[in-house]
Amino acid sequence: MKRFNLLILFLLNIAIFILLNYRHGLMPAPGPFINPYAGFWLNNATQDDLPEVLEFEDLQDSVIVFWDERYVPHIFAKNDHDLYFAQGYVTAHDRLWQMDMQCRAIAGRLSEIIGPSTIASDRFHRRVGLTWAAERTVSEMMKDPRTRLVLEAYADGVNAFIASLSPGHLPLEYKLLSFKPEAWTPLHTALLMKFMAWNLTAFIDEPDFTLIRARYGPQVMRDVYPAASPFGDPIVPRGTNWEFRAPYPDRPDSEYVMPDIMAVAPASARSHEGSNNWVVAGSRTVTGGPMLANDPHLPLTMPSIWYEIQLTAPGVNVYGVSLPGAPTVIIGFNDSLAWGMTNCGTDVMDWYAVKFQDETRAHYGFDGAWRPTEKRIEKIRVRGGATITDTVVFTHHGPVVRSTASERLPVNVPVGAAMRWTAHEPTHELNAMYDLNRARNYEEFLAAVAQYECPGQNIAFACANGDYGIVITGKIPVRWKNQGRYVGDGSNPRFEWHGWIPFAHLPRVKNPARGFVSSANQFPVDEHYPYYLNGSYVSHARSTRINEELAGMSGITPEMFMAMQNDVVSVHARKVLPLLLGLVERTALPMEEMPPYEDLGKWTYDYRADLCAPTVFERWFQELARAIWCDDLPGMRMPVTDITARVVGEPNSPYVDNRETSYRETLRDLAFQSYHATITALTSERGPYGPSWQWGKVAPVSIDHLLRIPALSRTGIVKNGGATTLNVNEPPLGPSWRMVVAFEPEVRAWGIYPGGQSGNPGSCHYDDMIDGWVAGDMMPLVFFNASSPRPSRAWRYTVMTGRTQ
Amino acid sequence: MAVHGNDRADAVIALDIVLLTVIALLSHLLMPYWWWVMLLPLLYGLFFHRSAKHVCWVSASSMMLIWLLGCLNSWLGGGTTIMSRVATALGLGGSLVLFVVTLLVAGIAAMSAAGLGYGIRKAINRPALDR
Repeated sequence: MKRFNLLILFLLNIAIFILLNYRHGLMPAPGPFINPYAGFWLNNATQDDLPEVLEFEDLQDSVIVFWDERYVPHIFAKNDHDLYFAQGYVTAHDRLWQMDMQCRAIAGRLSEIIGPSTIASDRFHRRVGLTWAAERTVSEMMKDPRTRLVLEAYADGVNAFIASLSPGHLPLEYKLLSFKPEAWTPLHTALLMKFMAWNLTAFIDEPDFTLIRARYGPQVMRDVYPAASPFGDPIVPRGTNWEFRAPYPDRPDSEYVMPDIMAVAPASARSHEGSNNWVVAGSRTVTGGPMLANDPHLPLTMPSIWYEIQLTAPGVNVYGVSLPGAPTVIIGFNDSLAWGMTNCGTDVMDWYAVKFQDETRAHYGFDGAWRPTEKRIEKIRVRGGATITDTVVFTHHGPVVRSTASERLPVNVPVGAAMRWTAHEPTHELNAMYDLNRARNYEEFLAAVAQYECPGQNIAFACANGDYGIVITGKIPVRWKNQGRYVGDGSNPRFEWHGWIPFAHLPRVKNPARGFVSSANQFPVDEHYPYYLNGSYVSHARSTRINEELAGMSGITPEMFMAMQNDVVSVHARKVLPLLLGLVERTALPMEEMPPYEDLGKWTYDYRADLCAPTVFERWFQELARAIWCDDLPGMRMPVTDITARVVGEPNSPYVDNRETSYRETLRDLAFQSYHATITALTSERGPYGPSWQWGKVAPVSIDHLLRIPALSRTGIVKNGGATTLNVNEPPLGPSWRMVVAFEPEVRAWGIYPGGQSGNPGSCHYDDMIDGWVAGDMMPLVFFNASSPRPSRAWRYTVMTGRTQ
Repeated sequence: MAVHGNDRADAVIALDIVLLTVIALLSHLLMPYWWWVMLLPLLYGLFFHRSAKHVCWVSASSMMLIWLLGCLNSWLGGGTTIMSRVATALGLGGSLVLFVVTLLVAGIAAMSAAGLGYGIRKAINRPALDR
C-alpha cells in the first residue's frame, strides 16, 4: 500500500512539474512565468532604469544619454559609430521584443515561436520575397563604408544590450512565449525597411481590376475606378508648367491578360495608410519663419511603431521619431530643417501572368523563348511540429506568389502570376535618411531625398532660411497608359517596365505663390503631367480641408496647426449630406425616423465622439453605396467614396437605376430607401435612437498589443474623428505621430504619439501618451543645442564608455 | 530551565524554515530557476525530516516565504502596473489574487515534493539525519 501511495505521490510530482515547466497551447509555462526571481515580476518599472555608467568594448569614445520627463533619450556622441551604437542600445533597451518579433514576422519565421497557427502567414511572407529583397539590399548597403558603419554600429549596440540580459530581465513577451532574442544583424534592419515598403505600397488591385475590366469593359474602369479623385486639388498646383517630356513606351495590343484569377473572390479595397503634411511660408506665420505639420496615419499598435529620440554627434543634431530596429531619425527636424512624410501611393508593384513550359515550372516563356526559373527553398520551422519546405519560383519579374487558387494565403494575389516590385531591388533609404538627418538647406534636402526609393513618399520640408516645399520621392517605373492596373502578360516584353522616372522629373513644389504646400495621399499632379501615374489614392476630403483651412489663415501660430491636426470636420459629409437631405422628404418619414433626420440637418459635419449624426451619416452613405453599385457591379469591389459622392450629385447617372427591378429608380428613391434601411439597421443593432448611437460608441479605437493580448492593449478608446477628417479615425489606422515644427527663427517643436516610449508593459511609460493623444494634446519636444545640452537636474542619465578609456 | 517537547519541536520547525529559506534564497539568486521550490523540498524530505507533516509544512512555508520576498521586492520596486496587467491577462481579477496564486503555487509544489522526498526515504528505510 505504501509503495502504491509513493507511486501516486511520484506521479503527482511529475504532473505538477510538467504543468508548471511547459507551455500549454498559447499559455506561458506557469513555473518560469510566475517565478518572482526570473518571471514577469521582474518586468516592473525599474526595468526602465539604466546604470549611470556602462562600459562597452566597442565604443570609441564616451557617450552620454539623457532621458527627459517623457523618457525620450537624448544621445550625445563624439562620432557616428558611437552615436548609432548608442541608438541601437537604448532602442533595444526599450523595444527589443518588438524589433525581434516584427523581423520574425516579416521574414516568415513566426511559426518558430508561435507554432502551426502562423504557417500561412509565414509562407506568404516568404513567397513575396521580403527576405530575398532585404538580402539584396543589405548586400548593396554593405558596399558603402558609411552605411556599413551605421548598420554595424547599430547592430552592435542592440547586441550589447542582448548580451547584458539575464533570463529574468528579458522583456515580458519573451517570457510569455518562452523564447530568447537572437543576435541582431544589418539584415534585420533591412527587413524592417522592406516591411515599411510592403505596408505602404502593397495595394494589390490587379486581380480585381482585371476581373472588372474583362467583365464590364474599359468605360466602367474609367468611370468608376479612376486612379485620381474627381474632386479636390493635386499636391502640385494645377497649371504647373512641366518643362520636360516623357518617353512613350510601346504599348501591347491588349492592356491585360486574364490568368486563372476567376477562381479568386474579389477583395475589398485595402484600408489606405493615409497621412497629412503641410507647410506654410514664413510670410503667413506670426513669427515670420516657416512652419511644418505632419501626422502619418499608420497601424496603431502597442508598442508603437515609433520611438522618439534625439541624436547628436559632430555633423548631426536631429530630433524625431525612429523605427525601432533602424538607425537614424525617419520623421523629424534639426536646427535648420524639418521634414514630414505622407505616403505617395503610386503603384510600384505589378503582376505578370506567367506561362510555364511544364509542371516542373523550371522554364517560363518570355519574348518567344523559354527562360529558366530560379527556385528558392524556404524551410519554415514550426514550434511543436515538423519543418515545412516551400519552393518559391522566381522569374526575372520576381517571385510567383500563388501557384494555385486553392492555396490559402492571407492576401488576395493573382494565381500563377509573378510579382515585380521596386522594393525587391536593392534600395538606399538608409543613405537618404542619414543625409536627411544632416541636411541644412533645400539643396542638401533634395540630394538626400533623391536616394529615397521605396516606399515613395511626399516629403514636405521647411528650412530655417525660409525655404519650404514638397517633393514626391521614390523609384517610379515609366509605363504606358493603364500599364500596371491589370495583370500583365509576363511573356510579352512590352509589359516590362520602361525605366524609371528621373528624380528631376518627379513632381515637386518649392516656395509657391500661394504660401503653402500640403499633401494628404491625393493624386499628386494634374492631367498635364507628362508621365503616366497609377496608384492607390484616397478621397479628396482631407486634402481639400487642409487647403481651405490654410488658404483662410493668417498670422499662423503652432497652436493653429495643432488645432488643424485635431480638426474633425468632414468635407465629404459637407459635400454629400445636403444633397441627400434634399432628396428625402421629411414629411414622408415615419415618426421614429424623424429625430435622426433632424439632427443630420443641424449637424455641422464634425465627427465628434458624443454626436449621433456621424453614425447615421456613415451608415446612410454605406447603404446608399450598396444600393447604387451592387446591381451594376455584383460581387465586385465597391468604388471609393468620392465616386459614390459624384453619383449623388448626378441624378441622371446610369448607375442610379437598380437593374434588378423593372421599375426605374431615381436617386430620390435610393436615398429614401437607404435612409430607411439605415435607421432600421441601427435600431436593430443599437436600440432606439439615443446615446447608444453616439459616434464614439459605434467606432471606438483599439490600440492592440502586437500579440493581441487585451490586458497589454488599450481598447474601447472613445475618440473624435472619422475616415475623412484630418484627425483620422479609421481603425486600425490612425495618426501615429503628430508633429508641429516652427522656425521662430530658433526651432521649436511639439509632438505626440499614441503609446509610450517603453515597450515594457510594467513601465509607466508604456502607454502614457495615449490619453493626451486622444485629447488632442501636444507635448513640447525638448531639443538641445548640440554644443551645450542643459538637462534638468531631475533627469536620469547614463554615461557609456569604452573599456580602454 | 527545562525545554518542553512542544517548544523543542517548534524551535526545530522554525530553525528548519530559516535554514531552508536561506538556502532557497541563495539558490534563487544564483540560478533563478522556478523548480528550486520543488527540488529543495524534495531533498529536505529525503534527508531532514521528522514527520510527513513536518517536512510538508516546513517546505511549503519556506518556499512561500521565499517567493513572497521576491514578489514584495518586485511590488515595492514599481511592480503594481505589471501585476495588474498580468492578473488581467491571466483572468485572475486583480493583483492580490495573483499574489495569492503565486504563493499557492510555490506552497503546493513544495509540499508535494517534500512529501515525495519523505515517502522515498521511508520506502528505502533510510534513517534520517538527526541534528
